[in-house]
Amino acid sequence: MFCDDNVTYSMWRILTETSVSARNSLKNMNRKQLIKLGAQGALTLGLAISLSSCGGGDDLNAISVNGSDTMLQVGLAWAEKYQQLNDDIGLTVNGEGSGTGIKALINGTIQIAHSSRPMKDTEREQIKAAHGKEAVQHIVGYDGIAVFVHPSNPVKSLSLEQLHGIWAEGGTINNWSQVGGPDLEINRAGRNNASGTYSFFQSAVCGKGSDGKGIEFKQGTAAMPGSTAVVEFCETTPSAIGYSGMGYKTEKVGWLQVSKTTGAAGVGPSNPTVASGDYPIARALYIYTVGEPEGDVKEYLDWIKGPEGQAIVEAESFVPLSN
Amino acid sequence: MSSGKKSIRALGAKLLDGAELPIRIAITICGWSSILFVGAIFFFIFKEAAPVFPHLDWGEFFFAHRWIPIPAEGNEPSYGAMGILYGTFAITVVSMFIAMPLGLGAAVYISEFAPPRRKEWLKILIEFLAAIPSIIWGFIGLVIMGPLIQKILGVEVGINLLNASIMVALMAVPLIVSISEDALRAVPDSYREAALALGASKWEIVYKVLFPAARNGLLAASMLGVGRAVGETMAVWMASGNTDNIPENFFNPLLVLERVKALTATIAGEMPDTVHGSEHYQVLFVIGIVLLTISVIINVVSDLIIKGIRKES
Amino acid sequence: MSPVSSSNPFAAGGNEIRKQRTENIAKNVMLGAAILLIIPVLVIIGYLFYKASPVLSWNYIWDVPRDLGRQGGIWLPLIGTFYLVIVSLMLVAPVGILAGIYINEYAPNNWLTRCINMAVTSLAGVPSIVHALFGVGAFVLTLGMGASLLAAACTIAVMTIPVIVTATREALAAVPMAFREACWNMGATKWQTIRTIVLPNSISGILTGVILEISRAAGETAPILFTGAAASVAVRTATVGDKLMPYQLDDRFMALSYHLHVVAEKISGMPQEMKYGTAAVLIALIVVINSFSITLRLYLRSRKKW
Repeated sequence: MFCDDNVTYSMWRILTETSVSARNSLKNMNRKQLIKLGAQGALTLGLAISLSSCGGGDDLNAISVNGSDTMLQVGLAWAEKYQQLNDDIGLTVNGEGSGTGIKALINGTIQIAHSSRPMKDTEREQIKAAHGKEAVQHIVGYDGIAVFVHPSNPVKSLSLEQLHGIWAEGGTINNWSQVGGPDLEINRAGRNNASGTYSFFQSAVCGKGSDGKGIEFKQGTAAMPGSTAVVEFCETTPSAIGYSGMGYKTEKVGWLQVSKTTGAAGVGPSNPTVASGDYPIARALYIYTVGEPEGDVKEYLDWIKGPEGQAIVEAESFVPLSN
Repeated sequence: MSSGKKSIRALGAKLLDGAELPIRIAITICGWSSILFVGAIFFFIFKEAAPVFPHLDWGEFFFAHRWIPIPAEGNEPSYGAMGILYGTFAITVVSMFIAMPLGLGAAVYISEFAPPRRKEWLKILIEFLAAIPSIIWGFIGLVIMGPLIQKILGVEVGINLLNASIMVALMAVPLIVSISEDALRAVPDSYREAALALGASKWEIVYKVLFPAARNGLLAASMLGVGRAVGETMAVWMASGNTDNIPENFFNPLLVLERVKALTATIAGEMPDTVHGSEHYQVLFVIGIVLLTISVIINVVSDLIIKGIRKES
Repeated sequence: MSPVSSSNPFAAGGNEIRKQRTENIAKNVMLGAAILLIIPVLVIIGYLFYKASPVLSWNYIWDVPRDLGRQGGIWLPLIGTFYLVIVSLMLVAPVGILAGIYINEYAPNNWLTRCINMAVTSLAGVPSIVHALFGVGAFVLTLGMGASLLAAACTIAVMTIPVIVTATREALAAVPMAFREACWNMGATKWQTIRTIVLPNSISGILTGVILEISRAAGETAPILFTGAAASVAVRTATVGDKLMPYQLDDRFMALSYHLHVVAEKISGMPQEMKYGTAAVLIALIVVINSFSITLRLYLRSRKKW
């Protein structure tokens, strides 16, 4: 905001003047002067607030990160570990969604954007227009989207076609008995409409209709407040089905093997199957920077792609690059 | 030393007294600030929402049940918020069904039946109830009430309309109790004495004398309860199941076990994932306008009712 | 009429017995409503604390969250809440108290004053999520604060203005008019009267409002969702000084209420007791703050001289 020297100088001037006029007013009580004093005092206070608000991060080399909610966990884990190793780096990590992260990159408020989807061409153009540099894409890992169910559910494997019938608008599978399970109505739980996981799962499972337009999810699909909420919903609800990153698996929840065609053997989400492409619902995790990264940001990204960062990727149950 | 202190104090007093005019100006400006802030809230909410006004299909917004702001590839977004409006409406109605009898009962007990000491204790406890933040209610709904509903009612999903309504009811009750109690206390004692003299029992006084005499205040209490229920965010978000559903049969009482999605929860859930300035973002501000309008109408009307009571008594 | 009354003219008649029975039923139903409100909530809160007991310790309070909050403590969210409260209080207290003074002492009885009162009422009724939207539009974007501690504190401040205004107004109104008249008769101006007579006699009431504001600010989640709360911030916490001053005004910050939301719904494999621990500390904080306000009020009433 007002971080230039002029302001600092004028603030100093006002401060000294204020103290002079305060001394005067002690000698000679004068209404006009007092009004002036009050006004200057208010101004000083205002300046002090605005100055202290731009004083943040002076002592730390701050890197701001925002983007995909899916990558929030791994992003936080990277930041936490990296901070321990490098005391002079201040990392702020947020997971407000891939779109928000890229938008913040365009606006220059962050240096690193996490994204669980590739950048759109329009976004690339905006980066170019705003900064004069190309957006650079870094793949830092892979993620399988697992289909979670209650552990007691006898259904262990579904084909993409059957998943389509369960999730997609116009699909006819509404009861577990239609896919060999108990006679229970299926309770679907997903993410909110703006989430990257939502749109990825939509394109992978619901796909496109014959007219080339995408098919939406069925009405009555819950939009859970977070990926963990989806998994917990599946833990506690016998008739539930939900999707979330495979990183969110717990011992108390079951997941389905998925086959590309009905009748083929199902494949469970795991590091090798995701990396090899055998598991059909998988995607890459991206990091975007404006131009080739330099300095602290470069060091941080190199570290993420290196063995320590990739160990964290694996520890957070994503699929590391080396696989 | 003490005389020096004294003179400084006197000087300070003189300074403060001499500043009558600037202080008066400051006080007046602060006094008007509430109007300024209400105006600013309207201004900024409308400002952020305004770009979408010309091309938002209002008929679709209010009467279509299809909320897909970010569509699949090749599709047009649709902003049919009827399911979400229904969700807020349903939570409000069901929570008031729970909160009104509880709140009214507690208010009558506190104001008419309770011995003085117990009255004090109850009032303090209800004040604590009012102070519990909504995130705590959401958490309780999620981890305690949800499994409880599953177990007791034997249903599949524990986070549903009933769960959210119970949480909202518990949040609205303290408000209903305190306003109702005020309204009951505002009924002049001479009414009670007259009824007693005619041989009425305490209960007869309550429902034949106090209820009719305090009906405006009780109405205001329920309206403020409604306002609370409409505007509640975190508890509703975490405990309602957040699913855009409209039941086929409105007269089936089992609809309380369906999951619903509320206006407030839609904003809270989708806002962080939207890009500032996008159409979706603007439509979320339109939802904000709907909420703002409902709450301001409710509050102003109930305030007028309450003021009317004060004037009468 | 009934045979009983013919032998004893003062015995309760059937009508009266029925009346008495209705009365008892009614009374018990009302008592039941009051109990139904309070007992389950107390049980639930007791249960929360019971589930939280494995982690509750001074170390849990003082330690920073580790492994995304799965281990360690809650110091960073706790101090973030503290900062949020302090900054919002610094912003709202002067405005709110002066506004309360204006409404009770200066405001003429005209349409403008009625508008002001209406505005205070409306402000109190605006849903917290709408305040959050306002915060995004006004502070985060238009005033360029970004999502930060300052923006969140401003949002909370606007939201809690009615709390302080109402408390101040009521406290001032409780000072008898005769006090002011006596002072005016001594030749004091309006402001002198307010400063020397009215404010000292109503300070406890105003303080109650301030404490209520603190309680609101500490518990609210929705208004800080988009205006500055962060799921996690990496800050230096090596020394005690770092721990006490982790945030600047333009930083994103962690807050206890938002932290509860994050550990409850966003991080996988979160141990149950960490969730309950966060909830328990938040409740304890609110209960302590409100106990202050209630004690203050009871004390105030006991020593009221007029």
